Amino acid sequence: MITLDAITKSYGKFRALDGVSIAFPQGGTTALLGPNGAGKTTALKIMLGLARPDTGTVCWDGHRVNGAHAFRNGIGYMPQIGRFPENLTVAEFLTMIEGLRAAPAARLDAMLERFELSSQSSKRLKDLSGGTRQRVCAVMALMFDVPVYILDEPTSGLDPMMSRRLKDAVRAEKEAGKTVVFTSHIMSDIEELADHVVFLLEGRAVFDGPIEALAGGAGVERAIAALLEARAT
Amino acid sequence: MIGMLFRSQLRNVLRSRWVYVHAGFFAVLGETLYQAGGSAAGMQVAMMNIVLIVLPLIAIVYGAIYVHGAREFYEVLAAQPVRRRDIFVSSYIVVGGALAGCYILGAGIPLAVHAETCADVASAAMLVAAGALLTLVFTAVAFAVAIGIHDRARAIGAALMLWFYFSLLYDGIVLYLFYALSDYPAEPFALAFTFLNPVDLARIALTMQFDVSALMGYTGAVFEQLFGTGLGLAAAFAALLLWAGVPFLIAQRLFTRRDF
Repeated sequence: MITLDAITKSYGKFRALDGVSIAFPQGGTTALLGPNGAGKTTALKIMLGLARPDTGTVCWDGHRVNGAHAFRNGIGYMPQIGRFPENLTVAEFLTMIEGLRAAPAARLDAMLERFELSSQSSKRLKDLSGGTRQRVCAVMALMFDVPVYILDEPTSGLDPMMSRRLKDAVRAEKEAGKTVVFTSHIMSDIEELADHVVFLLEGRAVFDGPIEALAGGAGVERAIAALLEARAT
Repeated sequence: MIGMLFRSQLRNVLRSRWVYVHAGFFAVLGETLYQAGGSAAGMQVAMMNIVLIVLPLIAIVYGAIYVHGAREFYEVLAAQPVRRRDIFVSSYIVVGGALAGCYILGAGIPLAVHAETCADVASAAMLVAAGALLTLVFTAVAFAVAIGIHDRARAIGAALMLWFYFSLLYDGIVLYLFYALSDYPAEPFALAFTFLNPVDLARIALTMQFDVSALMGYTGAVFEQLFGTGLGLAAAFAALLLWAGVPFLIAQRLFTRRDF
């Protein structure tokens, strides 16, 4: 289980996270949602060690990981924006990422097939469209058979077919008992994939619980609108 | 692991046309200067003056642009199970090494071609070595600036300001100080001031090798005493290495602590 405990993070005067504590259930799919600037990406980056919290701790199976790096062998990460060394080919880039891990990318070929990148693996990254780069991001995260996947707005920039394939892949990981944490603004994705929701607003977790408890029968979008209205009044 | 980072980044940089433009520029420059001057010695002195201005500019601008362009790539790497220090070190070695290597190749070709007319091969080698060291110095400065300043335009602006300071402004300040303090013996201070600017350090060390110190009067004699000896020259190169090392360590510290 991954836990964020009393995390505070400021960028200058802007407080991105304000004492946030979240326990991401093992084997569950957690969606981090909230408006722009709510602290979703910051929370993901702190989980990964890409940003340092001002206060608070990040624990991985009960062990504090602030500043460590080996724990990332257990994480597949899909960033929000796929910008890579332009002059490398898709295959060279993914081979490099594989070479940085303790275990080989067991599913590299399968993921290249799934995201229709096999025929493009010899193309340079600078020659790919934004959507295709996003597919490379997806392969980079999902080619490893690891216990945790962290996906930052995974379906943004993907066409409907690739978005479907990505969601199928995430669902397969979920069924295999893997932990998935993702951010999204697309409510249908959240309803489809998440079983646990953390709603962040102005750097605070204003809701943390099962999706049924948030949405009830009304749907996530309505539930969030009601939540925002309640906060405003 | 650092080897994998190094190989991949090197492959990426070596496929960029700019490093070859860099090498080609110095090859064409050297040959043009030789043809214009008619002698290898003249070519070396003229080339020194251009190298001392142009090389730091190329290194600092290319380094700053590279670091900012690779920001998302660094984020992807930092999300992998690798030490940030390894990412930084491999990146610096690749960029600094590629720029220095292409300069050595580019400047080395005309110097090697005309070596038989060159009276002093050692000073030609010194020109190449000092240029390579200056490249490493200003690449390290560029990395420190670009990692420390998150906004790309401001980072490149700051890098250009530093180049302007070291290449032009510093000499103006020192000259003004000497002029203002002309009633006092300035030579020992001149020596100290030289060590505070890598461009000046390289310029003085190279000038001494080209045997034109007589043009510099009494100050030249003081410089000749130090830089004219093997030990003094070693001190100058050690100081240049220090000039590369300090910003390198600052940049590394910033990189290992930065938020992506």
